[in-house]
Amino acid sequence: MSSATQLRLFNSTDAGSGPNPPAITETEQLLKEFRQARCAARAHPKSVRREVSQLRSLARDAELRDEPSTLGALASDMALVARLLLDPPRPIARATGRARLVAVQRFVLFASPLLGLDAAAQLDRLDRLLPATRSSGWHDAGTIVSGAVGRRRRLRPTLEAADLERIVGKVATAESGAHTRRDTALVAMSCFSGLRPEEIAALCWDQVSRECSPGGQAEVRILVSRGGGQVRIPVPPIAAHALAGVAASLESNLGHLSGPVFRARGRGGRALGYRTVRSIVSEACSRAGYPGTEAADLRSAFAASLKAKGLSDHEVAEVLGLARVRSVDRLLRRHRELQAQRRVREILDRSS
Amino acid sequence: MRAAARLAGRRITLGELFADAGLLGRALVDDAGTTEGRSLSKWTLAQRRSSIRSFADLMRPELLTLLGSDPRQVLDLALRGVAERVGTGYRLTGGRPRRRGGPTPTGGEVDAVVAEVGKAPGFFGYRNAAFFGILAATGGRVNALLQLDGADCVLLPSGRLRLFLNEKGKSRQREVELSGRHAELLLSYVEEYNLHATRHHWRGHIRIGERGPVWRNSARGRWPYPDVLQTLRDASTAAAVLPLTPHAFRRAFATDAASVLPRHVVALAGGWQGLERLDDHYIRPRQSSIWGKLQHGGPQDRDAKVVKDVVGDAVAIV
Repeated sequence: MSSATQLRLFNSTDAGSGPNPPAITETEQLLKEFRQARCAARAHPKSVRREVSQLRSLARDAELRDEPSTLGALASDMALVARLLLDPPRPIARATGRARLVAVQRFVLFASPLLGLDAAAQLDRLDRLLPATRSSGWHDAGTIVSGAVGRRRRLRPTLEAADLERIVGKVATAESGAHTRRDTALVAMSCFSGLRPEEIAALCWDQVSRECSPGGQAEVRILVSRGGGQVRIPVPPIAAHALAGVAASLESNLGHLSGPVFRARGRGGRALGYRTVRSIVSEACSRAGYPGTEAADLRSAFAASLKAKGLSDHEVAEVLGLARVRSVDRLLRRHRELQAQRRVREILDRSS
Repeated sequence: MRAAARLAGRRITLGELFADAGLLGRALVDDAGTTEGRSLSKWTLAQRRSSIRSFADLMRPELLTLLGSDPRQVLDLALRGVAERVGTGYRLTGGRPRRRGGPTPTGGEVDAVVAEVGKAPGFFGYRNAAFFGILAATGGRVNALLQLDGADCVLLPSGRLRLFLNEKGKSRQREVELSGRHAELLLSYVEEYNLHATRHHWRGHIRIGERGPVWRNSARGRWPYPDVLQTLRDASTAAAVLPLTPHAFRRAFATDAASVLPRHVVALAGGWQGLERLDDHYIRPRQSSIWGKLQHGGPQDRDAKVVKDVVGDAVAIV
C-alpha cells in the first residue's frame, strides 16, 4: 500500500462517522489496494471480486445504520464489524453471511498492520464477539458463521415456448406508444435469443450482422464478449424480425446503423439502462400472467424450446453462447422433470 | 443417563458425565435397548446427541464454571473419541440402521382406497379425493403435500396448475404439474371448503396463490397428520384392502412407472436424486406384471431372439 493511502486511511478513522464524498473515495482507494494485494497473493479473481463486493455491502450497511462507514473504521472497530455481521439491515442468505465474515477476516489481516494493530489479536477479538456456531456438525472442522438468517427465493413456474410467445405477444398491446417496437424487440431478444440482460442493454448496431448461410438464407448474428473472448450468437427468426422492426422504425436496415439498439427516451441517443431493460421485461411477463419471472427463467424456456425443435445439447449451447454444455443440463433440469412427470402420468392414466 | 449409569456401574450426574469425556462418548453411542436383545436405531442415537448438545448450549455458563472448559468442546472431543476416523472427518458406527420399505399396493387397491376416501360427506370428501389422488398420481411425500401452502400453488395462464412441494433434505422445492383431472379435484375442494367456511362463518379461506394452508380439517389450520393416517386406515378397511400408509402410494407410483418406463425417468418424475434409493426401497416388481409380459411377448422375447442369434439354436430359452 502506498504511503498516501496509509495517510488517508488514518485520517478517515480519525475523522469518525458520516457518509461524505471524501470517505467514499478513500473506501474505493482502499478497496483498490486490497484487491491488488489479494491478486498479488494469487487469490482467484472471482473470490477477490466477491470479497470486495461484501466489504462494500458492509460499508453500505454501516452507513444505513448511521455508524462509521469507512473501511478504516471497519478494520479497527471489531465491535462494529460484529454488529454488522450479526444483524444485517436486510435479510441475507447464510452463504452471504459467511462470505462477509471471510471478506472481513482477510481485510483485517490486510489493513491491521497499517493501523498499527495486531491482526491476530483483532481477529481473535472478532471471534469472541461472534456466536460459537459451527457451520456444520461436530464431525467437521467448520468455520464460525455469523448469525445471518437464511433466505429462500420462491420458485417461479417453469416456462415453455408457448409461454414465451404469450409474453412477447402481450408487449404489443401495452400502452408503450412510440416505444412499442423497441419494447417488443427487447422482450423478443430476452425470450428468443441467448443474450443476457446486460448484453441486451449494451447492444449496439455494430454488433449485429446479417450473413448469408450456405443454404442461401439470411442469418442474423450478434457478436458479444464473453469470458475474455468474442462469441457470435445466432439470432432466431422471431427475434431477428423484431430487430429488423426497430431498424425499420429508424428508417434504415440492419447493417447500416450505428449506436445503441435500444435507446432511452430523449434526443441523446443514450442506451437503455440495465434496470430499465429488466423492468420492461418484468412488466411484460407480469402482463402475460407470469409475475416474478426473471431472465434465467426466460433463457431456460428458450433452451427448452430449442430442444423441442430437435437441436442437440451442443447445438443449444451454441445458440445460447454457452461455453459448457453442462450449463444446458442445468437450464433444462426442471423441464426434464416436468417432461418425466408427464410421461409417467400418460402411462399410468393409460394403464388404469 | 441410564446408559452412562450402566457403563459406569453406578448412578451418575450430568456434571460428572461432562467431566468424563470418555464416558460421555461411550454413553452417546451405546445402542443397547431397554428390551433384551434389541438395539437402538441410529435415529434414536441422533436424537440423544441432539438433546445433549442442546443441554450443553443451554447450560454453557454453569458447565463452563464447573468444568473449566467449553462444554461444546468437551462434547466434540467425546464424540471424536468414540467415532471412526474417515478421511478428513469422523463417522459414528453404533445404532441399528433404519428400516425402509413395506407393502406395495396394486393399482386396483390404490384406486379402491382413493374412491373410498372420497365418499366422506361435505368438503371432507372433496379434500380426501384431491389429497390422496394427487399423492398417488405424483408419487409425492405425504409431509411435503400436507405442508402445501396456497402461495406454492401457481395457476398458469395456460390453465395448468403447478405445485411447489418441499423436498426432504433439500433447500430447493420440487415443481409438480397436476393433470387436468387432479387440478379440477383440487379446485373443487377449495371451492367446497370456502363455501363451507362462509356458511359456518369461519374466518380462514383457501386461496390459490396466497399464503395459508391448503389442506384443512376445520377453521383452525392445517389437516393434522394423525387424521390423515386415520382417514387412510378407515378407507382401507372399508375397501377391504390391507391398511395402507401414505408412503405406500409412493412405492406404488415407483413400481407401476418403472414397469413401463426407464428408471431414470421415474426418478426424475418422482423427485429421487439418483437411482440407488429408488431401486432398493421403492420398486417392487409385481409378479402379475412379470407374468403378463412373459406371456404376451414384449422385451423378453426380443432379448431371447438376440441370445438365439448369438449362440445358436442349441441354447434353451427359459
